[in-house]
Amino acid sequence: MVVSKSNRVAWPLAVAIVFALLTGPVLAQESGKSPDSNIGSSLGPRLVAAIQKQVASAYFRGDPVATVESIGELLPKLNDIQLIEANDILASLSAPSLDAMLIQARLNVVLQGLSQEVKAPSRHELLVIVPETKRRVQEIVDAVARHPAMQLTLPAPSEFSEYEELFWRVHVLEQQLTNAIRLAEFGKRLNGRGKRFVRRASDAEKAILETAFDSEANKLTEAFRELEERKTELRIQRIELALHKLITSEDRREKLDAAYVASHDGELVKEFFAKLDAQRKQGKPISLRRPGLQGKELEAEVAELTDTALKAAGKLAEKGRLLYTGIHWWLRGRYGRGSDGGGLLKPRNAIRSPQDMFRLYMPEQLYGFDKSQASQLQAPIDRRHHYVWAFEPRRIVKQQYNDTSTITNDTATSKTTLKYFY
Amino acid sequence: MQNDDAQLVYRIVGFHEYSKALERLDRLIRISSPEEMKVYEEIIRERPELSFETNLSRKGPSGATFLGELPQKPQDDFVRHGLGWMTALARIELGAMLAGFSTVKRPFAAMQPTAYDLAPYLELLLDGARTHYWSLNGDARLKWTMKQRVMNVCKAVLSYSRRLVMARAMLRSAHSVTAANYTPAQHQEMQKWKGDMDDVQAVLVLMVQDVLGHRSFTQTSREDSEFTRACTALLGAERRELAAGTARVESLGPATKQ
Repeated sequence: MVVSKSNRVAWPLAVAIVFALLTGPVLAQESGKSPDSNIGSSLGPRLVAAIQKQVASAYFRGDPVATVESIGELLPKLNDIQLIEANDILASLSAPSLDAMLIQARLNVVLQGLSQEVKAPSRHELLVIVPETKRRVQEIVDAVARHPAMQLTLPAPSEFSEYEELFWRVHVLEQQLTNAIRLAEFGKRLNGRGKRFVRRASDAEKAILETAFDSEANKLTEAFRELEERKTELRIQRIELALHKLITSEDRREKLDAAYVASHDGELVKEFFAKLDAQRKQGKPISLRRPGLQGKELEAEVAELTDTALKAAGKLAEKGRLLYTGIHWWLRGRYGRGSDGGGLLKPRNAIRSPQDMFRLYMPEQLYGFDKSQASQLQAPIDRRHHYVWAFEPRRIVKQQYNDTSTITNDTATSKTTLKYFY
Repeated sequence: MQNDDAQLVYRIVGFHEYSKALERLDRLIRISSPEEMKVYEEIIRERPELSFETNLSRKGPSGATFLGELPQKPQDDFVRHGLGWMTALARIELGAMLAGFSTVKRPFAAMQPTAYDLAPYLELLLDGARTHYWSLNGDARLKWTMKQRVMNVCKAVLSYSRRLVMARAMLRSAHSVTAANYTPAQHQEMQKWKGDMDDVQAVLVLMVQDVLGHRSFTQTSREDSEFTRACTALLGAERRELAAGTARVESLGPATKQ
């Protein structure tokens, strides 16, 4: 298959079963009662209200900035027992613990580029966040070394389907690298902040607060640049394959695929060289790592190769583009998840920022519908219109029901009545 | 689309994406030969991620109906695969988003079906209307909400009201696309559904208006003002539904098929 997946964003949480979200446990809020009156007894009504109406509400609303801020305000007010009770309240609302929520929200703030909107992390936060940040960064450093496109010899598939698989894996790695670079930069800032607290820290805490991220940050940046070059080489290889198929193949479908590939890859390789040109004009030094991209005539040769392929493709080039980009957008509509509202919504500024409008989480593996594995293979949601009406008030939880998945509202106050599409 | 509408609709995942998909796939269908269409269908059928299930309403609370989806074969599992199904799904999702979150005059007409996807479109539209109607009909929480003091349940009221706007727009559109093809029994059932939903919506709209009256004096936070804006948008969408004929004062057009 030659659908362009080049702009997909990997879905970091794999299959989402829980769609928690929107504005939180509203029914509990609206009735003014704790979901379970036996918990939170040492907290007092103000703290209980802060946990339910600020922390949980921000979390369920999918607002990472408000989640970080509300937890940041709450934590200094809690002793150890109260912290346990606070987590019990959150558990009764099917929310994660304060620490888990804080990690998730703080890293989402970083990945969404919203760091300026929240206060710097406290000592407690640092001790929780630094190890998790380090773990996530290291995970991607390791993934680079194992990736097929990053081995000594570049793969050279003979079928489009193999290229498609390879480009998808390259794309996933690109997204992982982008996120990991942001996290590593964040880690460097955490390291700077941690120095303030080192003096009074225990040895174990000191080790965490002094965690360095410089080496990983450099490795990741280098890997990202090299991956871009390797990807361009792979595209040039694929245009050659497309031209070959357009000339030799009698198969209508293979020609359609070849036509699309020539048009798509031709444009992307052209963009790559145009970017290099722009950098040259700005006086920036250009140092390509890959020998395969270093010939002076290469740009003109690839342009000629693409033109020849497109001439051979004729009108099929447009049709291939419409089909595959149409499918690509459809898949984004069907499977994409936003950063807010349990994945149903894009961030507030999406309407002003094309980047935020475009950015979605996509599953690494698309599901389709397979009757034999219905529980694993369904789309994250069956229809968007089953859920979006609940924009504000409802916590949405995906559950299995009668051999299929439906969405239910299982807030503590309404477990007995609601089973469908809330 | 008005600016306030755009603030809400464009944030919904799928709005931008399905619009882009339709822009391309509709053009593709227009310029391709039947032989080429066969190739596209072959490509699509090989990709399970492009399939999806229909007749979802059968899985929730349901009832005897003349408006059900008929199986296409014995032991039909209602999994559908094909370009027409894909474009139809995109149209339904977009129409529903416009219905619930904008004051666009004819939300489903904004993405009208073509000859290629009319049949799948109608199946999906009716399935949507059935799902929402049956779900609302068996919803004890809705009944409970309608008996509460509005300020205690204002967010739930807004959402339910929005759901009713969406469901009624689906029903209206399903009726208007092929009014002539419905039997009198189907027509009568649609009328009943419409009447039931109108009754509930009339109460909810009064509650939303009550909320707005109260909020105009008390709102202080960003969340408050966003909520107020959402309520105002909902009332705008409801006015559109009333103007389009889903109100109590007007009924769906006559059935002509015997």
